[in-house]
Amino acid sequence: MGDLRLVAQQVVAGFLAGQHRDARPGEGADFSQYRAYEPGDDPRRVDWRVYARSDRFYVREAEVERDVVVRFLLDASASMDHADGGLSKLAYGGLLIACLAHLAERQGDRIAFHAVTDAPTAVDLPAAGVRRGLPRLVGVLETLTAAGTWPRWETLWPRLAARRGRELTVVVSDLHDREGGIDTTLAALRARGHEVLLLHLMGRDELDFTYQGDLLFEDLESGETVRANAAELRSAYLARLARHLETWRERLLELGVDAHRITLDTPPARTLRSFLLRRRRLPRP
Amino acid sequence: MSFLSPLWLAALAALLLPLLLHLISRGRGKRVRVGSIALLAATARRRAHRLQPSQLLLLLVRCLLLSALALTLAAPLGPRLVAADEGAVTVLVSPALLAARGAGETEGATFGALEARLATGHPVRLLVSGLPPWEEGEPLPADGGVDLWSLLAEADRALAPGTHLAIFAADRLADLRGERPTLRHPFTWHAVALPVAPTSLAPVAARGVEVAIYTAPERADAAAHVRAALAAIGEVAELAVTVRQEAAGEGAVGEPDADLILWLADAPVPAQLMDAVAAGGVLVRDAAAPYTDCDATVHPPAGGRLVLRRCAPAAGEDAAVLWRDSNGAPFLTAMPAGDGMVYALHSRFDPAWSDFVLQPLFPRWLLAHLEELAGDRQHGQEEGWEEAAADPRPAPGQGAPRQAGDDAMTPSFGVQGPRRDLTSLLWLLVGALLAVERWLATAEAAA
Repeated sequence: MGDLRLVAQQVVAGFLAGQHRDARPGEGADFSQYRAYEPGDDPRRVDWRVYARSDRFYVREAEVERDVVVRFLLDASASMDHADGGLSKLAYGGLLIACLAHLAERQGDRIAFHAVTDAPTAVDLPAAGVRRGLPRLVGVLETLTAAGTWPRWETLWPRLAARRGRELTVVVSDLHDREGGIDTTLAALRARGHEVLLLHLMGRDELDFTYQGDLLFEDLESGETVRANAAELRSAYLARLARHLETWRERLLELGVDAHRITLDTPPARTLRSFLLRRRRLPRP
Repeated sequence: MSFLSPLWLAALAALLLPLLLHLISRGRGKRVRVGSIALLAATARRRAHRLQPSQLLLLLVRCLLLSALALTLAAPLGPRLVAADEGAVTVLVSPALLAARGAGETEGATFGALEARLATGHPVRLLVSGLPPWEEGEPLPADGGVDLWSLLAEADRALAPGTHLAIFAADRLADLRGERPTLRHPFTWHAVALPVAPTSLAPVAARGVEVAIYTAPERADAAAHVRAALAAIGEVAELAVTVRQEAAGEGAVGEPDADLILWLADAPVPAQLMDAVAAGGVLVRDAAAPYTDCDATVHPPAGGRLVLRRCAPAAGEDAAVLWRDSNGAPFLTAMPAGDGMVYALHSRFDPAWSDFVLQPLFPRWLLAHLEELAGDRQHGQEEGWEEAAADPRPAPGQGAPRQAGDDAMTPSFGVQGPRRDLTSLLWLLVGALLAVERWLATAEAAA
């Protein structure tokens, strides 16, 4: 990975350069979104250029709420040690978070970070300005290791202490959680009115089951093993995976979580670009 | 079922190979660390201990293939061909049996079979010199004993190939004078013990020879075989054979005087015995240690075939080689010693070394030397006659000739026909199984 901050800067710079080429006149490259005018909003915050084009009233979120906290929850359980193509989910997720934190820095947002696990390797960085927060975040990400499992909400919530202002919570996880803790966390965050963005990381091998031969599969979190022939298992596994992903899709839709599936074989820059471009088109919940 | 090469049956142990490979392959497998096996475990559990039917069939076919190959190489001989259709049949019958039949002594299964054969009108030949044809009512030659085996060998040569021989013979050891033949014709053997007529006389054995066997403890089995041969000679031949056995040591021996001395030991022959040999005796010694395992045969000049399993290096002496083995090494040598002769057997009188002692050639060979020695002693002795006792019978299974294709060591009990050769059928089976195995393996790989 090298210097994580340098890599993140390179990825973001590439994304921004592309954005500048793609950007339509009058739009910025900030992290904020437009939202529909609501009764009670100050008419001076209406973006008249958007009105001129659309005959609809929108206000810029960034102009209204300058103290947005972007809180990153990185799944640091043992399952995130799954690697595909030499890059583990933890490393990939850390890179994404570093990139997003870099973007937040440009926008003047505050960032908070939590390496979520019930193991002693858990880390909690409270919200801070990027001048102090970003270097500290990068330092944590570079030394973070995957261990343990996703904690119960009751033990996690105190770490995610109540904050002022609105928050955007970015959860980076592989959704491997037998106890249902991730589901509970997402539901609890949404119940408190936070916008939740989920980056679901998967390896290409586990998505397409590209394994071959007689293999001994070892669960990274529980240590359990199962011996099987990949060819015999493939069709049944893919069927079960499809049902599993569909179940999650429906659940996330129900919770109102903005979910994006990312495979580890996708270059981080492309991931960032497609994710952020898609975010710009999505209405705010 | 018997086998010509039973050692190949050990190859059946190779059946363990595919099983071991299957068990090993189940135990191996690259370890892959994944985020969760939850989606894998449920599916894999249903399949973990289940051998796919195609794999089970392939394993079974491979085991059958190895089994068939091992059996084929072992060259099994199936059951004897039952002569449902014997084709041409010639009845060979001993005049003594026909005479007993003529005298009304017709009880017993053998006479019943003889009557059945005669009733079918098959050509009948007498078991006498020349094998003359015989028909009901014709006079019979006098029963002066026959050289049965030689007559059967003559019939095997003279009669048309494929002719089934129905042999009816008197079960008398005295008739077994020739070499036990191996008949190419399928045959049915019937033997009846007939007592010698009370008025028949046999010359009394006025001649006698003395045989001394000096044996080392480890040669006890060899000595037993030599004694058995000498005992048979004493029963059959017109010769009184006196046998004594002593321990072979390196010291002086008591009573060295004997006509035939057998030295069955590694120790050198004592000077006393050599003196007895030089005075006109015959010494036969066997091979001293060490030995090597060899796979050879010996074809004595008188005919027959010996199987040699252990060989001993020939001693460096100027002995005349009488018999050589198929590797060209001496098997029996002779060297004069004074007025006597020393024979050296480059093997031992032990079936573990060779089948010499189990062949009829062995007692005949001994008898030849004993008769020669007895002839020297006979001078001045009177001969007499006495009423012969009932003729001794041959050992069970030793009276009948051998069928071509039988193991040389297998006694014949007069069963019918040669054994079915199963090798060709088994090679076909091996080929078919191989084709099936390749087809299944290719299909499995493609799957």
